[in-house]
Amino acid sequence: MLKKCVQNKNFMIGAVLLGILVLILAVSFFYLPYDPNGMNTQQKFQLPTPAHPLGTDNFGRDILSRVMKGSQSVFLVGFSSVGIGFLFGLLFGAAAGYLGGAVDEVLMRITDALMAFPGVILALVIITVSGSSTLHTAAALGVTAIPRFCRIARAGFLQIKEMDYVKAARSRGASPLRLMALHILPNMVSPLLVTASVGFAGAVLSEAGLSYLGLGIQPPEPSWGMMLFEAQAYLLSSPWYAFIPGCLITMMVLGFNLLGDGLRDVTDARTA
Amino acid sequence: MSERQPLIELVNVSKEYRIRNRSNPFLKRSIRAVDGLSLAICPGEVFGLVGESGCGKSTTGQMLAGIFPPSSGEIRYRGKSVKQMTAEEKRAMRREIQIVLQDPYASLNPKRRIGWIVEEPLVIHTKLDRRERRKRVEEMMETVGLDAGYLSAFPHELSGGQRQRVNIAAALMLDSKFLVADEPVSALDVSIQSQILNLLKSLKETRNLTYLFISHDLNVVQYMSDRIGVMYLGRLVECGGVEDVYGDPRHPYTRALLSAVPSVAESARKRILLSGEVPSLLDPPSGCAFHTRCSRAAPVCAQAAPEMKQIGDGHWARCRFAEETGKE
Amino acid sequence: MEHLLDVEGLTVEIRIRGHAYRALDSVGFRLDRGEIVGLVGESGCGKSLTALSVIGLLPEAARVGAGEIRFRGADLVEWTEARMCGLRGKDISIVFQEPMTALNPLMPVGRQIAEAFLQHGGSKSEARAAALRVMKQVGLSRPDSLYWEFPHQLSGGMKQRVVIAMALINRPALLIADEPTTALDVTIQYQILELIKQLNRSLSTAVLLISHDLGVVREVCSRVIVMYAGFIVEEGGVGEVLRRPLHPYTRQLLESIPTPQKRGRPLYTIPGVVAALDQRPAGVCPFCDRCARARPRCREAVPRLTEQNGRKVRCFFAGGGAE
Repeated sequence: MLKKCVQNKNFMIGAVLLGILVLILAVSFFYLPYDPNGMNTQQKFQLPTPAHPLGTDNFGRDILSRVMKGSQSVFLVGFSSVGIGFLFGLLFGAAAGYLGGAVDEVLMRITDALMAFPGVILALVIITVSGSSTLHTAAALGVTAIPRFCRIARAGFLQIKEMDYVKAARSRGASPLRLMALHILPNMVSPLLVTASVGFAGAVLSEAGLSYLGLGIQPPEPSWGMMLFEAQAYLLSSPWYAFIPGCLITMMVLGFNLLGDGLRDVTDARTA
Repeated sequence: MSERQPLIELVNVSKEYRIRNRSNPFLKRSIRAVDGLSLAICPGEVFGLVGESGCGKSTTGQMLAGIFPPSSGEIRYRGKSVKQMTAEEKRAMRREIQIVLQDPYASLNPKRRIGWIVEEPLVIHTKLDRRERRKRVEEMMETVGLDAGYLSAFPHELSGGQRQRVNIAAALMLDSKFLVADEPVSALDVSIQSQILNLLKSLKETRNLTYLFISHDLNVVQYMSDRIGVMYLGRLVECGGVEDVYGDPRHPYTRALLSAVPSVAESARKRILLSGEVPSLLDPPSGCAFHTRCSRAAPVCAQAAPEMKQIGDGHWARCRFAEETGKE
Repeated sequence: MEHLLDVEGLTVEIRIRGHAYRALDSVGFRLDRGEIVGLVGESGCGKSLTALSVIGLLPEAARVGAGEIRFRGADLVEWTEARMCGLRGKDISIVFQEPMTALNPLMPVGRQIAEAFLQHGGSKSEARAAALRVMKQVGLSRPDSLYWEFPHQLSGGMKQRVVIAMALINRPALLIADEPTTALDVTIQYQILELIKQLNRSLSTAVLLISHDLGVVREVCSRVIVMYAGFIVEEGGVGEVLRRPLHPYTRQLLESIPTPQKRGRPLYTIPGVVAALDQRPAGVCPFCDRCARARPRCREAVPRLTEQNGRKVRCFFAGGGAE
């Protein structure tokens, strides 16, 4: 399986792009060149110099440090929202698909309701009610991601449940839990993984959007989306300022999308 | 059939499925995949169940294997009704009855190795440790004629015949006594079929097994079975010893079915060409299910369903004219 | 006399991962007008590939390496795709195993049959009339109302009749039927086989029937060709071949088929399995690894297809009594 991943172009490009970002993330826990919130108005809008490899922003803060710190919240938001979506989506989908009947109907109507709200609006509502913070943003995005995972999980369970090998296992005495966890799940998890990968990118974009609207991560905490928002005022005078976070967001989204595409190709071929 | 107690009995068993009515969701329709089936299988015999699509033979097999319960009627195992069994007794019964399914390509979990699949029944039902389990698995692989090297392989690496052997191995891990074989060789090449049939036969002898052998291939059934049952639209229309049913079929459907079988051997049978199609289960004919296609149908056949009539020793047919339908 | 179909020395190669493997090797046979010939063999023998070669529908990875496929004297291997399109459905038709996937689920069946007519010219009204006529010929009742029904409303047997109607509407000289009844119930299978026989008589359509089931071939065909691992190994009249098979494969295959006479004793089994495409040694008899009568000679060269008394067999030691 790993060999096939390495041979797949999409997967490898995506992996490389993400690798760079993960590296930034890893380093950010141990070392930041400057205090991300340290202002130095003497040095604002500096272009890249050896002292400030990515330049400084409108408050003289070092962009590289801000970007590195920002990666932490980006990854946090991404993983937790996808994590919540995946976990609950899988649980609901499995219950709905396997048990069917009334359980299926109720769960599906709940997810329909969730899906009826545009993601960002729903996130706005949740954040308004519970306040802005990184954690709340992540939770809000996670909840909006649940329906997507739930539908895929349900479809997978419905389909695999009827397969002969599940019937055979059932006739040999496997309990429903065993069937679901050991027989059905491994055979339908690939589309979920692909969705998770692509969903990560979507979550990051949504977070950027929310920060842009001022509802996500609050300043002065660095967030790539917030940086983009701040930079728009200076687009003509110091385009460099907007370029960096935009570039990184693009890298992340592209990376996850390619990784997801690659995963899908690899897992398709194998189950064929 | 002797005076021995049957190993497993079906008494007036039916299986109904609800179908949602498209125009009126509150008006539910149901189809009877199996309708009032009664049969008994004695220890050590091979009971062949034949019929065409929609006849309910697979459903019957799966009910016996415990994949789902019947909607009505009783299943008796070793004389005791399943409904009256304790949970413990039920579990013991489940260990003794196993199923081998038709499609060797779909009946193995593609993401699991062969060793894991064959070992699973032991993991579920016994408290044996890893080494003991491994030993039994290796023994079983040898019994079914598979090299132990295949234990670490995935299903897609094996051929159809090999996969079917894996299915048989997994089915026998718990020392089962009764095996439901649902079209075990239908998906295999002719030259592989004989290998698997021989394996099934020798396993039956060495392990004292009883089989319910379900197939649409009448040549194979005739070769393997001691007694056979013919199903049509969920009902058992004829049953008896193989020589009786094949040699002197009394139900018009059985006669038509047997005459339609292409065979490499010269056949002395009169050819009966049935008109029309098998009726849909959603709209079964009234009275006798076969009357719409039967050349001997009389008005009474549409009004009331016939009962099973005894023709000879252990030979029964569900037709009013069964006694008159002699050898033509 | 010119044969309707004259295949000679047909060799088809399949490319897998850069290598070309021979899936068909020097296949040759003839079909005359109005004959029903059976092509029999197990998976991997190349019977379906032979059919696809004749009608020019080989898969991407396959190509004709050598040989000629002469239809009414013209070599089809040379023909362009455009010319073949004019031939398909008009002079040569093919019917496949699965009626379900052969029909467009979104179009009424009558329209699909009429479309087969329209492909080769004619007006819409002519097409409809022809469709109704051929629907009656294939035994579909109430053609007028059935015309507008969709495939999912029909049973398997009826769908296959529709497919046969589509194949025969232009009265082709040759009908290729690739396992036409394998997916159908036994009694329906009998109906369809009888239909094929009857259409062969009334329309004089020659039929190349492909099947893995020797019983089916015996029912319908006058001549049978047995294939193994890409080679033709035996050919002859159906009754003859089944009564007195000359090639060890045919003989061993017949031995392993369950019949009532064999009750009570183990079946003969042919040892081993058909070699995969990329594991077939060249320059030896294709069956030598599994043959009960193999001798050193069999591993030295591929036997030629020799003719004796109207029967053909590819074996160094053919003839001789039954096993």
